[in-house]
Amino acid sequence: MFRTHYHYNPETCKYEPSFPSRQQNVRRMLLFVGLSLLIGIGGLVYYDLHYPDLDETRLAHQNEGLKLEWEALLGKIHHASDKLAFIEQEDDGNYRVVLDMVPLDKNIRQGGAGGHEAYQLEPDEQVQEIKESYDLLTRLNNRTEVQAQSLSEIEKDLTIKEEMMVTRPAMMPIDNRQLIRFNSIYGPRLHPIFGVWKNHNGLDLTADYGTPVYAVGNGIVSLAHYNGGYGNVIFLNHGFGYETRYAHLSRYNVVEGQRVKRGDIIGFVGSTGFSTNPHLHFEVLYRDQWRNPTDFMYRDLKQEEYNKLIQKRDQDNPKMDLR
Amino acid sequence: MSTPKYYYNPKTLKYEPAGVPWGSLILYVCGLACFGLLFFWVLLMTQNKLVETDRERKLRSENLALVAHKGRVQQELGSVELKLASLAERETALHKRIFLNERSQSISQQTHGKELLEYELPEYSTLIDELAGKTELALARASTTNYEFSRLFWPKKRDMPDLQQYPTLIPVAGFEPSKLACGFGNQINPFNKRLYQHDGIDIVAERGTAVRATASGRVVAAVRNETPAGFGHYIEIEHANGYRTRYAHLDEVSVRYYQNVKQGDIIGTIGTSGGSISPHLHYEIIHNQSRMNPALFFIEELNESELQQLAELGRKTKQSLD
Repeated sequence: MFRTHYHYNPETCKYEPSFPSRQQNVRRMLLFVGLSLLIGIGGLVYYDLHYPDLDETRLAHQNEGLKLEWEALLGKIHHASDKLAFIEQEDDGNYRVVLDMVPLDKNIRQGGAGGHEAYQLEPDEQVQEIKESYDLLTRLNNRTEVQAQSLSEIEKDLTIKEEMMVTRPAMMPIDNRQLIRFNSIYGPRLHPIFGVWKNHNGLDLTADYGTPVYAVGNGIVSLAHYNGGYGNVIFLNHGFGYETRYAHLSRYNVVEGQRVKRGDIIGFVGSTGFSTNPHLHFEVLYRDQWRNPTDFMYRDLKQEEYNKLIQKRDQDNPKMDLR
Repeated sequence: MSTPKYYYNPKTLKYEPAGVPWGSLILYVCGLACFGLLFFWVLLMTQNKLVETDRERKLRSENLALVAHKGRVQQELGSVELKLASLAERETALHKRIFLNERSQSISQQTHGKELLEYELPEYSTLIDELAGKTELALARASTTNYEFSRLFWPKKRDMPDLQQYPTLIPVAGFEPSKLACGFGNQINPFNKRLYQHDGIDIVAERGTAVRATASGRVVAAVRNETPAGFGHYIEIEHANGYRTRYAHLDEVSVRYYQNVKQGDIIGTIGTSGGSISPHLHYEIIHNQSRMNPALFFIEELNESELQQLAELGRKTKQSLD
C-alpha cells in the first residue's frame, strides 16, 4: 500500500523518490486536525440542536424513576387515608349514632387546616410530591390522633352503657319451672287481707316455700331485714335509677351492703309479712316510681337460656347452699 | 503537488503514473471520522461539565430533595400506619363489643377492593376486561329475562291500589343495609345477653330522624309509655289484607289513635324510649297475628346487591338494641 512515490525531475531527467517535506507534513497534520475538529464541532452543533443535554437526560431519567417511587409512596398514604376514612365513617355513622352521641365536628376531624410547621422545606425542595406527601401525612397524623381520642370517648361511654345493661333488671326472679302461679295484676286490686281496694305496686309470683330467689341485675343490697307488711324484704339498688324489692321471704342469703350479680341467689320464698301463702312479691322502681315488673322480666326467655343466667352465677359462688 | 506522481512497477520494470490512491484516501477519511468523533465526544463532555441549564439545575435539586425526603416520609408513613393498625384493632373490638358479632364481610371488604384497584397492573387490567365482558353479557341476558318477566307479570292498573297496601316502603328514608343493627329471629338480648326471639328488626338512625308509614292504613295504637322497658312510645298501624306494622322506641308520636295515614306519611321520630339502649327503630310486621321478617318486604328502594347484603346481615346473630 505504502508504495514509494517517485516524481520525474526534468532537470536530472530522472525519476526521483519524493518525500514530503517537514512543512508539508505539518500542514497536512494541521489540515487533518482542523477537519476533524470541524466535524466534531459540526456534530456538537447538530447534537445541541436536535437532542437534549446529556446530563439533563440522565437527570430526567433519574427523576422519572424517583417520581414513580414517590407515586407508590403517595398511593400508600392514600390507602392509609382510606382506611382511616372507613374508621371515621364507622365512628360517626355507626357507633356515635348507636351510643346516642353527638358526631364529631368536620373541622375537628380534619385536625385543623394545614399545619406544616413541622416540615419546613427549603426553597429548592418545593417539589409537588414532597409537599403533597407531607401535607397528607400531617393531616393523617392529626386525624389519627383525633380518631384515637374519639374512640376513647366512645369506649368510655360504652363502658357506662354496658354497666347499665348489666345492672338493669332483666330476668325473672324465680325459675319458671318452680313457679306455681304468675299473678299479673299490677295496679288497683282488692287486697286479700284488708278487703279494700288498694294499689298493687308489684307482682305476686307464687312458688313453694324455700324456692330460691335470684337477683335480676347487678346491684348493692341496700336493705335486708324485717319490714312491716313486706315481711322479710330485700331492697336491691341497681344504680341508674333502678331499684327492685323482694318481699315475704323466708330466709336471706345476703347481708346489707353486699354486692350481688345478676342470677345470684339472694333469698328464699316464704310467707312473712302481710301474706296468705308462700309467694314472692316483686317490685321494680325506676326513679322512685313503681313500674310494671312484667316489662323487665323477659318471660319469653327459653329455659336453657335462663339456666345459663343462673348457672353462671352458681359457678361463681360454688359454696352457696340451696336448702 | 501538481507534479504527476509515479510509482515503480517491479513486474514491468517501469515507472508508471500513479492513479488515485483509494486505499490511503479511505484510511484518511476513516481517520478523519475517528478523530472527528473523538473531538465531538471531548467537546460534548466539556460542554456537559461546563454548561448547566436551568432545567438541569432544577432537576438536580429536585432529585436530591426526593432522595433526601424519601426516608423521612417512609418513616412517618410507617409510624402513621402503626397507629392506624392499632386504631383499626380498637375499632374492630368496639364493633364486637357493641353488636356482639363480627362485622359483615361485605362491608369490610369495600376497603380491600380499593386496594386491589390501586395497582393497575397489566394482568389485572386484562382480567378486569374479561370480567367486564362477562358481566356485560350476563347483564344483557338479565335484562332480556327481566323484560320477559315484566311483560308477563306486569301488574294491571286495577291491581295497583291493592299492591300499594302492602308495607313495602322502608320506614326510614335513606336506608342502607349497614343500618340494620339487628335482624329478625334469634338474637341476643342486650340486658341479660341471652338469646331470645326478636320479633322485628332494628334500624339504626340518629335521634330525631323521621319515621314513615310503610303502607296506608289506620293507626290502631299510638301509645306514649315512659317505662324504661318494653316498646316505649310506639305506633301500630292496621293495613289491608291482615297486615299490621309496629314502630317502637319513638321519640315523638305525631299521629292520633284511629287516624288514617297514607304510605310515606311521617308518623313520628326515632328515639330511644322504652327498653332500648340506643336511638333506633324497632319495626315489626304482623300478618294475621304471626310475625314476619320485615327485611323481606324492603323491595322498593334497594338494588339487588343491597338486598343480598341485607339478607346476609339479617341472618347474623347480633345484640339487638331491643
